Amino acid sequence: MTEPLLQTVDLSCERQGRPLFRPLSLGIRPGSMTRIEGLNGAGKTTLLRTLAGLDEPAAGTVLWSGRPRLANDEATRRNVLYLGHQPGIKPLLTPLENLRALMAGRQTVPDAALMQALAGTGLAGLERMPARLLSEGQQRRIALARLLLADEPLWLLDEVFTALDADGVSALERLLQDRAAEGGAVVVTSHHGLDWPGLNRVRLAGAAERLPERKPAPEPTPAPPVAVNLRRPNTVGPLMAMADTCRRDLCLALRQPADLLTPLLFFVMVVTLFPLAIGPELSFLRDVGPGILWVSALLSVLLSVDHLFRHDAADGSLEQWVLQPQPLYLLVLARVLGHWVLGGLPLVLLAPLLGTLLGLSGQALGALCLTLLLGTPILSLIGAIGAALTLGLRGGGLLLALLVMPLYVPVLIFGTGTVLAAQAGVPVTGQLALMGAGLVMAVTLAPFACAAALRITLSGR
Amino acid sequence: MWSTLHRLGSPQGFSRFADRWTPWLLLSGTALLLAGLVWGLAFAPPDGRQGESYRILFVHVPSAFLAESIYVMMAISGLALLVWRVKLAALFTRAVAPVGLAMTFLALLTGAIWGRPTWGTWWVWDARITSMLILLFLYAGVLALDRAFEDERTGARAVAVLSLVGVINIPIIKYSVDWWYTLHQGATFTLTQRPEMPPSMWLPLLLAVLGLYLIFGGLACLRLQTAIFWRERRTRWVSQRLGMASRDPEGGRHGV
Repeated sequence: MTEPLLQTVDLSCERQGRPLFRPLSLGIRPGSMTRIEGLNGAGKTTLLRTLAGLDEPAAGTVLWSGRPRLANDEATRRNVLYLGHQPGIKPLLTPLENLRALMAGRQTVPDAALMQALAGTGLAGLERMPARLLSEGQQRRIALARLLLADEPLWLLDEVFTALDADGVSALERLLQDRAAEGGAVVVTSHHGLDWPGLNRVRLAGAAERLPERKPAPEPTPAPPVAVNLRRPNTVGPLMAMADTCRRDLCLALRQPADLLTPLLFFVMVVTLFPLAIGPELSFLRDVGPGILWVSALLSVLLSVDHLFRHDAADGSLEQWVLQPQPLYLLVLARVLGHWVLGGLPLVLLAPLLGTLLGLSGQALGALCLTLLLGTPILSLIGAIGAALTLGLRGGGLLLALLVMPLYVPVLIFGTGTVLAAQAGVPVTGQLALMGAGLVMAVTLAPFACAAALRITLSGR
Repeated sequence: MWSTLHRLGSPQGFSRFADRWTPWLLLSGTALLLAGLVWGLAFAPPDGRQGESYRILFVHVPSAFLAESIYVMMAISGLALLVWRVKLAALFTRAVAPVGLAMTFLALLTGAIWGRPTWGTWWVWDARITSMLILLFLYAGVLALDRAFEDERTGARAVAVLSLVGVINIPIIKYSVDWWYTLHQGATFTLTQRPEMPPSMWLPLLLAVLGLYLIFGGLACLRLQTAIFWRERRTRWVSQRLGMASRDPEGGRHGV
């Protein structure tokens, strides 16, 4: 008998501190089909998410080819394909772009192959149409096209039969059976009645449920480390993955220009409110101008950083993004960079105009641009930590402001102070160097915190 | 030593430790604090420049010390939770954050009351006061985030990340606020260049600080103990420990 790809040893999962099912020990072997069964709320989805590495088990271990999953996390992620309840399809992207985003960081697939896969799921001719114009079933089919391209040895599929028509269901059944015959392992949860020869059934018994006979499960001995022949090496470099993230984010953002303009308009409007509130004398505005501009820029970044992850978390694409076999730290960095190019850089460009309206001198305007150039990326990076921490919380946006604003204090102080000093004719190279040091520190540390926060909040969903 | 630490890190082991030590910590802390306060408020000599009003220092300084150290302790426990997965650490932050918030508030309040006779105003944008105010905001953020999560495990880990990020930022905030304050050199005079304190002043202060730390230790044990009982309310050892009839784990759920 072949060694199992994935094993669980006394795995138990919790929801709200309540155990979901009895400790589970199972092994998933190459060439097998497994169906996870259980009532609603029995923990099927939680189990799949735990196997995929999205959730943390409350107790027990998950082994990948005999070794603890955490020991070789990236290698495991490359070899596991997870499709969740939500397929992670962005309505603004075309099926082609969606499929490319789903493959990002895993394989480089030429467009022709992507098109062929889409055609294979009946989406021929729709490849370049925004996915929002497609029906739910058609959107699901994009995710299924992902299966046609998948070379991962283990597939974890959560409710994949939802919203598919009869043709789609039978095509998918065939695909899964073929996959198992090839030597891949498939784990599904489904309300759709499956009855295949050789299907393993795993029934999740509630922790409170009394089973008639309690046969202790045989202790699965952790298999010795073996090279599974189906295992895929990671061929996509982290820089490629970062570029993919950036490209996708920019593409998405540019299709919603209104969302891009809102923080900018907000910036302009807040700045306009101050002269209205405190009086139009330019001599006075010149003194408070740097502060006004910096506070408004800070609030504007805060406003835009809120949906850094929120939309993606709602449609499931965040999970696919996090599950890429790449260092999450670098992916976060790429995403924040993209966010800054569209949300922070325009502020830097707009600031001299508003500064002129407030009567700032030429030197002060120069210093304002430079400090914003160095400071707004720090704001985005710190904001990203807050956005990750408040992911999926009610009133997340306001809470984000509460968490992040105290951390913004140093940036604000140095930004404003530098502009004021420049206005007074004092050389500001020292302050600018300090802000640069702050930026270096933020670039180095913030993505770590943000990645950790993302894993934590995603696991609690 | 590791085995001792390990035992303390487990809920049951800590519970036994807390049973033994909480009363002693609270009692000795109260005694020291009272001694320090009575000595400081009634017997220490008046200050040459500020007269009697400086005596609020015996409340202000201990609470300010504690406010800052509690945040650092939260960050350390956050590290213990994220890196070593110490179960107790998840409960610690949640147990002490309100105490930290209260201490920060107390430090700010006594500072304002002290400022009235000394500076002639309730509030000055002094560097140290402003840092303290930002610390208050940091505590508020931790508490708000902690309350926002439905799942306690996720909440505790998210708060751990936040307090770690916060503790890295505290020195930066402090430095930047100091810098900001010197930039805006106001007309106020500060207390930084205070003459050397005679022992009759700093000894009661030391007593009060030690006393408050001990009380905090006792309070933390008490609050942790309560949190442990609540979280483990379905287990047998808790129902036995609380002297309830031993029931099966399911029935115990409605017990507490």
